[in-house]
Amino acid sequence: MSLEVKGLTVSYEDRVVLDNIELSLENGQIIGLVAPNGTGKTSLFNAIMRFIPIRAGHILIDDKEYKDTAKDVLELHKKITFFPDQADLHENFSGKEHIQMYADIWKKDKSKVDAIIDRLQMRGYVGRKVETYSLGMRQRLCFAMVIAADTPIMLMDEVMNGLDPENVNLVSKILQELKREGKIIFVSSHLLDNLDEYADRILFLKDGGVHFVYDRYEAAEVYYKVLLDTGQQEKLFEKWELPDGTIRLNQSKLCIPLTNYTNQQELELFQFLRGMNIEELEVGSLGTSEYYTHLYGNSESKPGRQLNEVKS
Amino acid sequence: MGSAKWHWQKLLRDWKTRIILVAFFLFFSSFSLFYRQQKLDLPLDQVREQYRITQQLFHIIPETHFEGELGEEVYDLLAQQQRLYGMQRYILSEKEGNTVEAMVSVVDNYLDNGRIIAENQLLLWEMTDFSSYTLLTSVLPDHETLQQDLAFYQYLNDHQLNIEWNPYSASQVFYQQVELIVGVVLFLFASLLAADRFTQDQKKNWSVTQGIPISWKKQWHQRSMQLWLLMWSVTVLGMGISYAISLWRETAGSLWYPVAVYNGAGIEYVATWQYILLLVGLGMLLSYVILLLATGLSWIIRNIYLTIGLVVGVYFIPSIWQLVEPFSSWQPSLYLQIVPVVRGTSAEQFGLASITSWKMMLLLIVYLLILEGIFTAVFNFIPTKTMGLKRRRAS
Repeated sequence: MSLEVKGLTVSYEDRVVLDNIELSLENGQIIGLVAPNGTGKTSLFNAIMRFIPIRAGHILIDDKEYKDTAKDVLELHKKITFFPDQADLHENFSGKEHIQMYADIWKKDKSKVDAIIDRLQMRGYVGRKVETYSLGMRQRLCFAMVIAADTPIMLMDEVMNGLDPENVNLVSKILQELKREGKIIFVSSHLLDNLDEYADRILFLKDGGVHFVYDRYEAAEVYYKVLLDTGQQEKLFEKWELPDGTIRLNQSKLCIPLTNYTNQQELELFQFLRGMNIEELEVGSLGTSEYYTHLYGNSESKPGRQLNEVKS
Repeated sequence: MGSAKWHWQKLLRDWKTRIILVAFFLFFSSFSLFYRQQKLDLPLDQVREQYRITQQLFHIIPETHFEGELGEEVYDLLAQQQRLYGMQRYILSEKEGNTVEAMVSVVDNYLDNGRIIAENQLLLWEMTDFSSYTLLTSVLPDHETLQQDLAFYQYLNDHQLNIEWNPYSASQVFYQQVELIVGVVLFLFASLLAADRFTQDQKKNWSVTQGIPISWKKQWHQRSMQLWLLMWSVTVLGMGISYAISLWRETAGSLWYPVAVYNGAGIEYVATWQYILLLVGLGMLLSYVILLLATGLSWIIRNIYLTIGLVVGVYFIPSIWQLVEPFSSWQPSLYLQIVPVVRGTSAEQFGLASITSWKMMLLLIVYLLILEGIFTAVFNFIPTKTMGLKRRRAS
């Protein structure tokens, strides 16, 4: 199965929120979607679901286009589930009834409901009315509902919202299991390091478009990622000519690319950095949170190389 | 199982729905008790009044007008009328039926008397040369009413029924209740139940309910039908209890007792149970139309009060045609009030003889088709999370 979005443009009156979005998702993939609040993540999901009108573009599943007709939208909804908002649950229904409802409506089969409840460790509260649930319990319930619907494509907006670390791990594991089952999962989340645990690619939205795609399985440039205070940075800049493409994140974190360094140079730089008693030194490619800070936060690059050139 | 089961669950757990159902159930089931509080004209009182009028005629018409062959004939007829009214009065006061068992040899049958009274009145209409003709005929029922009276007595005779002396009898109250239910009460009940059927989902459960793979149209039908079943379960149960209370507190009456209905050519009499079935059948059809309308509007408007106002307002649409002359008996807007159509008052009021019950059935089906067409188009819009609908764009 594949999900393809071509030239998707969404606007609210004159304000263009999404501009000519192009996406292609294949079987057994988890795609992360990252952007600050109000930059169009939910609009993208809503547009794919056809919950909002789109100004232009095409939505294709397995190369078949799903247009804006009632019939096509209905077929689309058989293949894609949208992660419910925990505030929208039926307060006078139990959690189990919610899960059964989704299983019943999409699959007409409730046999897996108990297994889902156990897998998400919801047995202790699932029989109670939703009105008694905490935020985290509701969020797990919403996740369980999507699993119960068992559609080949799942759009999970803010899936980790309100979950404690233990449940974040649990949901992350289940997402990986679903991926192995061949689902296409599109996840938006603000837990950036967590996305690196299960997402295959991470899309960064900016200015209405996909600004940058971070593919975790592509060979990536290796960096020294170091935390330095201002004095240490001045000392480093004084003694060491940093290569083009060096990125400074949030004033204190430096990411120094090693691509053009020889082994000897790498070693010398390493020894120099260690000699400064720095707080943290990590070797590896940039992660989602570093890309995020670079794209949306307070960062600067050494001239000659921009971030979108690093991975595009 | 699909979505129907879950729509039921939502519906039955909704406190607003529960309260409305209980309120209407209490109203319907206690109707006969309330009805007994009304002051009605008893048939006995009506006959007494006729007796008094006839007696007054003897005093008002100058004696000289009763002279001559024609005058004497009128005099004899009026005297006979008065005697017959006297007997009718006596029969009704004894509450035994059409005759008084102990007085069979003296007192005639109520039905025969009634038929003779009506025939006499028709004869009196023909005596145009009588000097006080205008005065005489001013107290007579018109020809049409007299023909209906004859048909009424004939019906009672054919079905061997007794005259109903008790307007509070179970069968009488029963059809009065059905007449009330299929009027504005039907619009109120349906609109109160349905005016927020989609609104609640769209305002409170948007993301849980928007993406389910069941068409809006199917959900519209399902939800309307469920409300219809609930509505009529409560109504039939309530009517049954009210009828049972009537049987316990009053005389039974007869479900075969004649009720006048309009057939396009004139008035004919049908049994009470037939009349009730006709009203309930039309009410069921009309209520489904109203529920489809209210449920559909709740998808668009999302303001329960506005939806209720609009739906109840539909009931009063026929009033427009009292201000503006209607152009055809095929106008669907003439068929939103059941009782006036069935009884023939709509035909009389709008001056269109062919406003009939069977046409109402056809036009209610036309209403269904019109609503299907309108909402098929409406459901092609997108219900937004906030308010209103957005047009899907061609892409």
